[in-house]
Amino acid sequence: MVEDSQASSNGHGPHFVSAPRRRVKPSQFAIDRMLAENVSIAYGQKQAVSDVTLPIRQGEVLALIGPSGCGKTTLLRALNRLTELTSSATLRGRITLDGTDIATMDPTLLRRRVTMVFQQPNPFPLSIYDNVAYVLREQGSKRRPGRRALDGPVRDALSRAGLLAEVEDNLKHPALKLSGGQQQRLCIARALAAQPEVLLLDEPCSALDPQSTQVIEDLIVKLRDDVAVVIVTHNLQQAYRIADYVGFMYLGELVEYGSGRTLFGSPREKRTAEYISGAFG
Amino acid sequence: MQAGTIAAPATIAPTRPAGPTWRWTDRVGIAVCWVLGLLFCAIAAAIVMFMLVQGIRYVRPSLLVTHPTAGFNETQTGGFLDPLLGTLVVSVIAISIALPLGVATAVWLSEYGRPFGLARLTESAVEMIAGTPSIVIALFGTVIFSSPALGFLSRSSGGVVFGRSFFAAGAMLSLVALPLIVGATREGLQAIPNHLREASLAVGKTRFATIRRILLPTARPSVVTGTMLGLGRVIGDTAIIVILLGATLTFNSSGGVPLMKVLRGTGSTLTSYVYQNSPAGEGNQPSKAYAAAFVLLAIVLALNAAVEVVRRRSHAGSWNA
Repeated sequence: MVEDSQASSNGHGPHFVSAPRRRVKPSQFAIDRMLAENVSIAYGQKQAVSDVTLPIRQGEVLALIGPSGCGKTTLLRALNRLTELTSSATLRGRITLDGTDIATMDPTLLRRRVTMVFQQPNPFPLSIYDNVAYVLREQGSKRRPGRRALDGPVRDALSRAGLLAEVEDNLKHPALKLSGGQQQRLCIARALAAQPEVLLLDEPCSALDPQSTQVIEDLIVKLRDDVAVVIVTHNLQQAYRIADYVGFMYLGELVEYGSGRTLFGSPREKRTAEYISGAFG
Repeated sequence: MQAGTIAAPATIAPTRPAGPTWRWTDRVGIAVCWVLGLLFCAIAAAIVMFMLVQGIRYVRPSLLVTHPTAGFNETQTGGFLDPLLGTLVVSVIAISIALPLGVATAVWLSEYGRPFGLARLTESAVEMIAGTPSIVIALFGTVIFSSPALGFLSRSSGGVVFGRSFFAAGAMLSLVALPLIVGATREGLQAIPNHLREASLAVGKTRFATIRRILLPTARPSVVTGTMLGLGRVIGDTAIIVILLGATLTFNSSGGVPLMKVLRGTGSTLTSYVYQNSPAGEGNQPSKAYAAAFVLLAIVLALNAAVEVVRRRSHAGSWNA
């Protein structure tokens, strides 16, 4: 890519730009999945997100970065209509999933196609198996699928999340006995079990140790071919390591959106350059 | 950063010297707390010990399986099988009304809370019921169950509805248990971190599925605790039994339908039996009263122990990574 060659030729980027990236080459293909058009979100009088337009593609990892309170989590939550749980939240603009306005969709169906993983690992206080099976049950038909019908999909989801090998022998154990990193991968397995088209990750590694973080980062890069991945992160190095595209948000605005190389290597906006070099944040 | 830039703390703070540094006001306060604490322990121990000694003196296994009869001395009055079964029947009726109603109310208040005004009103109403003396609830019950429309729930003769039956007593006793169940369930639901609800909604589950499959199972220890505490109150209540159950010595059934005839009829429970046989009651058989009171106390203590077991078991894990 042209942008990449420009980035490597100038030396103004932060120190970690020379660090190795987890993703080695751009994905073979990229399909537009979601599109946010002029999205503004307010909590009562307080504007949280102003006029953001952003594509979300399968085959690419999109990272949203920015200081605390810049609206990146709010934007993420708007993508599967979790903002609606806050009664004071209002949304203007349009978000589409495969061309359909998500405001017209049944929220439970939308949230099966656009699933989310949270900052805090939050497995349900059930067994490891039931955490994943819960998502698969009562899906579509009214009849609950039997245990045998669930076994395959549960194992599949756990293996996609890279957890199956570790928990294979004790699927019946309580999920809350797992380590923090394993709990978070269980949450990813849970999110993947619904066979979503888009996976939203809200600072998934901020409560984890570096080793668990690395495992999850590898996983995210691996997942991007099957699902569109959006990750909100505080951690600039993380965004640099795993993201194909990066959006920098500040005070509710999307200040800059571009490929990881461009945004970290030669940002167009002064505020972006200041933020990634550590002038504020 | 150089290795030597962080200096080790110069001295480790000495441990607090014991005793003399306490101010005299603090010392008085602690002394008062100790005395009060020991006092309550002594009172509780005295009650249990006294009942234990008296109970062991008078309880005979045969008392638990013999019907009571009217009589002038202890050999004639029989046992308290009927009151024991009466306690069981009343408890089952009261809890089977209070548990679903209480859990549903708690879920509504905690998870929906809308319409706001009605929810606040319900909250105050539940608190008010909790504060109402059971004798007042009993009196209110006589008004309700004496109405001709509810005549099928109790004995009636010639158009006059008695308003006293296991149904009437059980229904009113459910009001005694209800606030405890609502309170404990709400507390349990509110202790569940919000991100757990969002986690369920974020994978496309409905609010109802979240409540049913995740929240209520998680809050189960609280629900059980509230139910046990409510059950303890139901078993221990006397006023409602005396007024609404009729406090007849044996089961006094009404009509011919099996089970229905018992539930429509009158009877007694351990509490009314104790009252009846205490020196203040008509029976005046203190040894029987002590024996029944011992059994009553044993049941309530067993319930409290069960609550403690459930509480201990509930600390299975946490979400703090």
